[in-house]
Amino acid sequence: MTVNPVYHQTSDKLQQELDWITSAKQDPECFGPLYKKYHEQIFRYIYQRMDDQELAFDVTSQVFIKAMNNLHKYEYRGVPFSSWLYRIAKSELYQAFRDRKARKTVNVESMHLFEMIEDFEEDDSSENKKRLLKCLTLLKANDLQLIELRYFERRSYREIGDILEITENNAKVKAFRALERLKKLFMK
Amino acid sequence: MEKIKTIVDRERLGSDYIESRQNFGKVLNEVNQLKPPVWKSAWFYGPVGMSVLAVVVSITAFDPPSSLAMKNSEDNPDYKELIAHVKSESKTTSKTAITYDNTSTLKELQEEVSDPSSPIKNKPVNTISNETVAKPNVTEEHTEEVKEDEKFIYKGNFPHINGVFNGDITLNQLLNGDGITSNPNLTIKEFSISYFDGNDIVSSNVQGNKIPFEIGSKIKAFNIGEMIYITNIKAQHLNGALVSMSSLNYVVQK
Repeated sequence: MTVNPVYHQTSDKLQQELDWITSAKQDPECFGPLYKKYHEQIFRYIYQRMDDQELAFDVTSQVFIKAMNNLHKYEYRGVPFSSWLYRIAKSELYQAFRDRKARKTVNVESMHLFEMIEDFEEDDSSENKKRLLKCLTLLKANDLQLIELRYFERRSYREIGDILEITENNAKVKAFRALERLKKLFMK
Repeated sequence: MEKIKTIVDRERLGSDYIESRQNFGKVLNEVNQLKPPVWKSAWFYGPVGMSVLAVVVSITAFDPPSSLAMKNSEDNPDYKELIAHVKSESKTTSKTAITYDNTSTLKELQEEVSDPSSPIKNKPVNTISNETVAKPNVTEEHTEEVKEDEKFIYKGNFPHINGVFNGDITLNQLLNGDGITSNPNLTIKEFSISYFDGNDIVSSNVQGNKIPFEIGSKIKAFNIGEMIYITNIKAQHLNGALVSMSSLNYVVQK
């Protein structure tokens, strides 16, 4: 499985990001390059989990407002700044669900469903696709999140670990177990 | 359990479109709006607050009437000592306190005077205001029984008699003119005056803002070159609030 390479950055890029953050702590206008760099990633993360495009843009803006207001609390831990933004995005997304502004949505591509069914060694029939979609909605929120991050968004275990605030190995184990539970539901 | 919506193969938004929706200016504007105002920040109450305090203290220190008021105010230790001395003398001699009632009008008094049977036919008349005169209502009472009315609030206003705030004052200035005055918004309602009446030091409560004729004549006769003390000066503000004012000490001159 190919992994989304956007998350991984060279040490030079990380250093440049750190410089932007240091400047933005002094002057909020210096946050501009970080906004430009991560706006699309954060929007896609949010829009992946809801069906309202305009609301997704609003929540994205809210994520950056929160990030700028709390930038003084940010501490560099050797991982890309996006991991901190994803955590804020997750929190804002759940807030939108709690406020009933948005409806929880699972966006999948047929290709991902096909790959998954193939992993389960089943036929790629439309019936199986429907069954798999049904099983996805029956998963627990944590398991669904891991499946989405790993199998639909193609994120590395390291990135998943940073977003969920767990270790890379733990992310790997949890993602595997989530897939096992989905398989179990599918085979019933 | 909340129902989750599933969408298969939703059209993927282009990066250009998402980029076109970027609006950092709006985000920055909202961040600035969410920031607490300057006057709420901690630094404002540090150096800026101290600077304002220093300016206020400087103005107070260099303001002549204010500093004069402090000289005579009840916060001044010298003044306290002086008042304590006068009070202690008052206690030991059990003096007569005279209360002047200003409530009778000139008309009422004229009626009383025109009555041949009236015992006050030849009483002196105070000139406190055009319409009111002092009707001497002599009562025996010990000065220590006179208590501060709690509703009076000390505000540090500075009274004067004909522009004399303290020190030497001529008989003419003391007894003629406008009496005790202060801020135009304040009307002097009552005061106490301590003077030598030929036998002893007496303390009298006076309603109004002028020294009554009877007391004036005693001051004229026995207090030239002596100090008189005007204390417990109470005034009423235009808004109805009662104000306790700082005291006056004068050395009477001819």
